[in-house]
Amino acid sequence: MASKRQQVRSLLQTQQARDWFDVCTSSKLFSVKTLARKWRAARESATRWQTIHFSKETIEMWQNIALEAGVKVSKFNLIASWIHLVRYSSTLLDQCLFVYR
Amino acid sequence: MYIADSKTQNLASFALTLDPTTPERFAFTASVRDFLKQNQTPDAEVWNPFTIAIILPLPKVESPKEVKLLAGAISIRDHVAGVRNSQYMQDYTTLMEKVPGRQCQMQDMGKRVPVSLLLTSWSHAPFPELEMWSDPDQKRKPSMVQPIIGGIPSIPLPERGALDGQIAVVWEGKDGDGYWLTANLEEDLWRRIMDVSL
Repeated sequence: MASKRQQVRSLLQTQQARDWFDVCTSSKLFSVKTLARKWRAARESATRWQTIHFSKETIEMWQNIALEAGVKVSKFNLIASWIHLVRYSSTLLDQCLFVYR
Repeated sequence: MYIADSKTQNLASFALTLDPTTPERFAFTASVRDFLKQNQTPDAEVWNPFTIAIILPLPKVESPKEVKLLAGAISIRDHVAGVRNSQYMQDYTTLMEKVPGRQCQMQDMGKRVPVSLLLTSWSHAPFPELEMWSDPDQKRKPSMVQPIIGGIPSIPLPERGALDGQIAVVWEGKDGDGYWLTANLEEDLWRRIMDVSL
């Protein structure tokens, strides 16, 4: 009989999701039980894996604007911060977009 | 926006919000590396060497600009002094011994200063070993991996921060062709990211 871990893993449809599951379980970041619960919740709330491309020019433009404001920031931190801005504050995002333009 | 300062590893502070309708908010990262070296126990492993301290906003009062500035500076200095007190880390490691792997947000540090302090422990996970690709012949290791923690850097903050099962991976395209972001996020959030990234 398949283990609980195998059962949960078999539900994951993409390679990214399976890789992520393996990393999280091997490092004990989450228990299999927790991941199973999160997976069900994610499926029900339409969470999904997706990939987006940021052009070199776009990132450099953001970096230059930050630099003009006196802040040196890595390309990767910019992208990660961008997710949080979009997630948490539409008002703040609007303002940042204004600044970026 | 949180931006790590690579030059001053120990302490750096940055303005968090540009929104004029909300009070000023500041956050800073603080290294706990030295504390962990001296106090880490096998039963309470804390893998991340940095904490994020979110300074609570000052009350809005009518006063001259100079007075507000001074009050803000004093508040930030008090918070920095509070974070340097190791009692809050003792509280965290005690909690980690009971619930290993627990991500934690503390509302105060031994009652010394009112501050939201977030401590996490996930850097031991082998995220850097993930293989990412847009073209199967061009597999790449992540340039940055960020498990998404509920409450960072949200406003307002919940009682306790915790990994919420989501993750964002950033990796370089081939031949300097920009950057890719792969993540498991909500549909609505993806839609908004697509809208503003075009």
